[in-house]
Amino acid sequence: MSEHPTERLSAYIDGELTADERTSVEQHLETCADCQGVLADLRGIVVRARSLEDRPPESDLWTGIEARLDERPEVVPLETHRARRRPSFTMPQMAAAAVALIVLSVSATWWARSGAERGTDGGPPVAAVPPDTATPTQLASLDYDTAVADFEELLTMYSDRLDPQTVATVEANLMVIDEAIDEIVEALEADPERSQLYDSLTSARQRKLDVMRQTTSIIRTSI
Amino acid sequence: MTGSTKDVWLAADGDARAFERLYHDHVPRVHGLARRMVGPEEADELTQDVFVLAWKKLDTFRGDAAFSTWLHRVAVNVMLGYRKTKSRERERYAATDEPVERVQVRPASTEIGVDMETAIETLPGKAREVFVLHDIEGYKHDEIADLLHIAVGTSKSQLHRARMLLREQLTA
Repeated sequence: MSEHPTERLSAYIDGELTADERTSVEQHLETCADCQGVLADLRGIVVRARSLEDRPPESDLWTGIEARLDERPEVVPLETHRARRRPSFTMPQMAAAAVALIVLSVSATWWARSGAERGTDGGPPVAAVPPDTATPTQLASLDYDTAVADFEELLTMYSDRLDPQTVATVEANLMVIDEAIDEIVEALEADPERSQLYDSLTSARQRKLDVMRQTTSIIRTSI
Repeated sequence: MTGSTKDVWLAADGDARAFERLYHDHVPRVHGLARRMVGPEEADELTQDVFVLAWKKLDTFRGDAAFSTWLHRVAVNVMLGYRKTKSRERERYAATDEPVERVQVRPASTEIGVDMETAIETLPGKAREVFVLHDIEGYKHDEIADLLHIAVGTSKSQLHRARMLLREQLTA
């Protein structure tokens, strides 16, 4: 009988042996009752380990935790937190985003120059450019929805002239902000008394307007 | 959006009540990990440390993994950091190389049903860490190697060692 392959039994259970090693262990196991016993014991331990149940502590720990929550150095504004969760982009995507701004600028120049000649021919409305400044009061008004709708219309009108990846990148950024806004609105619906959520909502909307303004300001300065 | 996801956002925004709900959702697993990694005597304190640290670091939660996964990683790091500190203290003050776990009282019972958790407490340092992370928490050897700063082969050999020691405990 060959030497007991005890040291390899765990790897055998975990499926980490090569085909040759596995065959060797199995051939030994066919004729070695001792190793069969060890293998069965080890398998039993693995099964028992995986079936261990988690249970809450016997005593309440929350009180002690709550007393230490003040150790937190600062409360990070929700919109800042969301900003850190922005999807990361590859270098080609970042390059595409940069190209997007240039293309937007060039397209805007083209549109502005030809628009001066064509008059009202259905080109993107100047009113689509969001205002330079927006107060919280304005943000809470219908002006916000109007500005967003106008911007989306502008982006849609240019989208067929832009690289699809570029449009996707711009839309991905806006989508992240939209998700944050949706979640805050949902939280507000659940708890309208949480006044800090209104601040978060205003900030998130302001961020969206900032993104739109950064994009359209290039159009504005190119005219 | 699930209630738990909403609570993560609310907690990140400073809502302690939302964080308390997260605590109740996740404390069984964190406390279980603590019991197995550091023992029942210190599990409560380490569990509190985990949640306090998680509260402080919530703004670093990027949302690209489940909150439970993120929290569990925070917990593992807290446990391993604690064990490392204790290990250094032992090296500094103990005259013996024998790990503290090995000099604990062996369970009196020799029945098959000897408590698995008690048996885990008797495992020596690295074997215990690898066994808990691999066989209970489901980490892979390469992940364990990264966490413990050991070679993958060392992780495998420590796992086998742990299983064989547990076999002695549980089937004696």
